[in-house]
Amino acid sequence: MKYKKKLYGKRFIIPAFVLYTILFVIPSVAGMVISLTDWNVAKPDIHFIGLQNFVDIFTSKGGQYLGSIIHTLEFTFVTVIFKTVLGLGLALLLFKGLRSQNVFRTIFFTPYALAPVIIGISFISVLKPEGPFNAVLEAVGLGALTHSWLSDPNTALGSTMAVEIWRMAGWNMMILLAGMQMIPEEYYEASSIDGATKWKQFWKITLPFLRPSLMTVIVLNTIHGLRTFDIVFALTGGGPGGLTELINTQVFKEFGMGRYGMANALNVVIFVVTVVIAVIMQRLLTGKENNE
Amino acid sequence: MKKKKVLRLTALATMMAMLTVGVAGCGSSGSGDEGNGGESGGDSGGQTITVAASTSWVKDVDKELAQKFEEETGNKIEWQLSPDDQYENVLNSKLAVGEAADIFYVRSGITLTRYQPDKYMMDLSDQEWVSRYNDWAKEGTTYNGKTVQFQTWSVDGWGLLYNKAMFEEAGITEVPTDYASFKDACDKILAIGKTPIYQPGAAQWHWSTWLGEMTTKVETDTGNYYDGLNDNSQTFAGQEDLKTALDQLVEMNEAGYFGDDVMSNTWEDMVSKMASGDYAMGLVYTTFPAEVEAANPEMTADSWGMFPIPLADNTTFGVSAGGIGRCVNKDTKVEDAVKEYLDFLSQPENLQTYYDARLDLGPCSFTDIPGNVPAVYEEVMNNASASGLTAEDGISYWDATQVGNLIQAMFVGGTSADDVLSGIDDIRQPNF
Repeated sequence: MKYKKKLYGKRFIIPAFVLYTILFVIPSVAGMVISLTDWNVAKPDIHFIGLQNFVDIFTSKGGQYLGSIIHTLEFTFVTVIFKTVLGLGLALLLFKGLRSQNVFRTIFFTPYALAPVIIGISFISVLKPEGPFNAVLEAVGLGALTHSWLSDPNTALGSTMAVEIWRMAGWNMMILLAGMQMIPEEYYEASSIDGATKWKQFWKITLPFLRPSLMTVIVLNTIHGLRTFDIVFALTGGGPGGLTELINTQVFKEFGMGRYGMANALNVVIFVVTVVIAVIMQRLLTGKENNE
Repeated sequence: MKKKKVLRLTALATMMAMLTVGVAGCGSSGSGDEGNGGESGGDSGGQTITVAASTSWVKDVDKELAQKFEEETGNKIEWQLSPDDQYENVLNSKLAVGEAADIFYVRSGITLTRYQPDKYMMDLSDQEWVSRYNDWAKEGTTYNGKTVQFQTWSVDGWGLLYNKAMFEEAGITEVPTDYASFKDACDKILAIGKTPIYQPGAAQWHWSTWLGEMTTKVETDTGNYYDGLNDNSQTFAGQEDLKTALDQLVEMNEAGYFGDDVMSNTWEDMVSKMASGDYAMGLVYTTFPAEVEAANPEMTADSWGMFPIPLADNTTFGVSAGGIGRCVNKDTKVEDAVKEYLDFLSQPENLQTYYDARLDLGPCSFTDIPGNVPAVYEEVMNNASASGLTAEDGISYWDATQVGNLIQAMFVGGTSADDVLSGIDDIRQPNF
């Protein structure tokens, strides 16, 4: 008896392909084409200017565009590390053995369910010089650490990172918890009988089995970090003095000023950077997996 | 092996989809509001008119009048308010993607050109109320000979409001007329334990107001500075008075005249801070004392005086081209309802209600009623040697947020006054 290997024909791909092309591929390609023009609402005509917008991005006198690219990379690098490590820590803590683990899981996951703009606006009040965060520091005897967190040039970008890490740590925890639940219990039982410590179990069982989940959160955190917009825009608007300007907040401003050519060129830059980093990470992480 | 390849391809495809969503989503981020709500709707069977504005431009009286209009006509007014720092970006974005509200507020004067009046604004010249405009209101709302705005605002400018009692307590007997006497006054205020100036440093646009008032001095001194900037034959870089003013602004901050942490001060707190009696001065418009009085009835209009910004020994007072007006979206689907709404607002009894509630506004845009002329407006005009348009209303492509951002960077990013001025040129240049 012969079985058909394929239940569905290739033509079933067509609806999804058409929708994907119209909604995603065409706008993206159009954006790339616009990035090669000087489209500006203040000018009646649009001209093809080649790579001039990209030259301006990397050579602008005030360094505003380059600055926003650097801030974005810094933001991504720091938040990816802390989100992943904190998420892993929380997942280990709340995996089993804690009586109210479900309550804690919900509490830590809640920030992710809130709109980033709401979080941003709330944290403006929390991080004000006379806000509750500084009040807590004062109350526990750490008054020397109080700051104007969002307006001090030394802490502004770090504060936006901290808020983003706080928001996303719970989400990372959930993904990693799901990964942990896939690890067979027998491995832990067998290793316990052999006298393995908790630390050894973490390194030899938990971490290797969690690699696919970790790969997922690291790649997604990286993509998310590179295209962060709303939370930083709500917290600082890119200020003070452009010190928390990210590529996407810059894109929004350029778009708002009607400089569509430059706005799209910045978008292309972040697109390329994101693809390159994501593909490299994907290769590195899946490569290791395949070798094992 | 094949399975892994498929998995990898799937993962990559998912990743690309997410990236594309991110790229495509950037342009329209920033507001979750509905777009042009031109479709008929509302429980009464009337039409819904969407109105977009910066939050601080819309007061309770606007909503009360809107409610009265709703009751009279059965139409519905739907407000789309954006934070002050974000409104311009949101509006430009929505105009570009065809999702702008039926009515959108923008500043009168040369700022109109920033929003492509021919493309996005309906010609309202044939409306009855246009004939009742004051000359300055008509001039400020006209573009290429067409009236494109309905305005209920007033001529105003930004000067240094000072607390008379505090000046007296500090022993300041005369209003500062140059930078040296201004510094002297600030030092005396510091000596009595008060902060000389409340400066909302977190509001980027407010920093630009300092420089925007100073360009009036340059225009008055030279007579053709604005024309030169607008035909791109002049630059900000190299303008000595503006450079001096910016350097003095830094000096003021270093001397502690703005308090300990100027960058965390917000514009939203300005009224309460001035009403608190902890600050002697603030850079505000002439109708501001009415807002302070509303917050603290003990601080009446008589408590305040005003003088032009004395940086670079300036004595001129920059004024607006009439303030803020409402433009009608050329693509609105509820044109009749919108025109009916504007006609309703222009009725003398509604104008009276509006200006009675808006004590922050000066003279009325229409000839029907006088409006309010604040005492400090008369005082600042007396203290000024001349008046003229501010940068915001006289210089094309002056972007208050971007200019303010450059000035903020001078305080926190280590840039210089020269960098600020050449930065403004860089921002304007692509538009020519």
